[in-house]
Amino acid sequence: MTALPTQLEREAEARGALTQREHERQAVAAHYENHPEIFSLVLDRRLAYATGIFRREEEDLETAQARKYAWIAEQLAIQPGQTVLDVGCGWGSNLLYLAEHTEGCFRGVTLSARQREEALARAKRAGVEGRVRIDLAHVEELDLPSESLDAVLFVGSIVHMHNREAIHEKVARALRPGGRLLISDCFFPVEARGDRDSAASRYIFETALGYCRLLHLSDELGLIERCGLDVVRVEDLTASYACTLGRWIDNVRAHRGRIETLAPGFPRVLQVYMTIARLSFLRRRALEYMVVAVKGKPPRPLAGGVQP
Amino acid sequence: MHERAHERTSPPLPRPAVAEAVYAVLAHTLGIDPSGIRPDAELEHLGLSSLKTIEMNVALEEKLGFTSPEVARPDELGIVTVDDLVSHVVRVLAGDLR
Ligand SMILES: C[S@@+](CC[C@H](N)C(=O)[O-])C[C@H]1O[C@@H](n2cnc3c(N)ncnc32)[C@H](O)[C@@H]1O
Repeated sequence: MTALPTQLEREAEARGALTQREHERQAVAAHYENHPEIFSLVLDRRLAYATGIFRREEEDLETAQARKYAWIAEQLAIQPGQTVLDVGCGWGSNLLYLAEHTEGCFRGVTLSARQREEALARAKRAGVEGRVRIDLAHVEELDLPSESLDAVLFVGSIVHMHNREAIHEKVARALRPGGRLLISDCFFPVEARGDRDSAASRYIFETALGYCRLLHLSDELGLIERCGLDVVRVEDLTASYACTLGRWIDNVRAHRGRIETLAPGFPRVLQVYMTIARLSFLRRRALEYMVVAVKGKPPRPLAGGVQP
Repeated sequence: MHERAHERTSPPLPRPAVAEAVYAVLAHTLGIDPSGIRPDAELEHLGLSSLKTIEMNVALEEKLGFTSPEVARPDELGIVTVDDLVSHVVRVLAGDLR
């Protein structure tokens, strides 16, 4: 069952694929072009701009994000020399964690020049710059040779991409047999809970973040399967995202003055959009999932694997 | 998340000052003239959608320095009219609500 398109999705369709790509390039990048210091005051020390994994509500953000990095590393099981693409790498949170903890070769891609700069500076500081390349590009325009990648991540990024079919096909083609795909992002439940075109939804999806398209989890899984991948794992992180957002909001509160100096009006944008998102996750009007899929036959039995 | 009066050494703001701040923020959030807001007006009738509620709460928090409640509808806190809202903020600032 496919979701009735939101007003924003209808606008994207009306633009056509190429214009929409340019629209995403501008509108989505704008948020991430804000000063990295702002995000360093709000996020964990590696600047993950996506949910952590909370086991208990009172855990701190660093613990929850560290658990997420370790869990992703475990799921991707990157071997020496393997090639990894992080689509929407942000300031390098997962990309650099993986580069520091494995001997793989890494490529990140982001729409924000400022993010790229910050991520490259962090790669250098961590001493992994020789194995990390970061491109300023829209994923749709990347030239990805077929069967050239061992793992692809989309963490908090695929939601910004309208043209999902084409992106899944492209990524699936670029994966080697046995290659892993990991997606961590936000979805709508199949039966709408609340108005998906409300002013609050539009505020997050457009005013704050430029462009967002939430699919039903089942539709995204369908696209993945149709491209020749097997889904091997799905984890519900909805409650964890509500906790993560709670910590981020507290950090906005604690640093409101400094953030306001760096970007007038931005503390309010952050707190408003994060509050809308947190309430949506608490009420499960929006859902957060992490999905792992493998191209071809899964290389090892994954059933009964460790909990996130 | 709990409502918490800001650590303050000065006495809490008197009601008229709180009312003035609330009217100003409400008017700004709704894009209307503060002088047109009546104390018994219902917030919902003034057009306070869930987005506007959250925007107003954050603006009040910025202006008055308390931790605003996490609600999408004022009636979740039993707040129906403008006057209810003023009373609520007065109590939060006095530290009577947690
Ligand atoms: C919420 S951030 C997540 C960053 C990172 N994955 C993390 O977990 O910390 C979203 C990222 O996706 C990137 N992005 C969004 N759409 C993109 C696209 N079409 N092509 C490449 N990057 C994109 C943004 O530039 C940003 O870096």
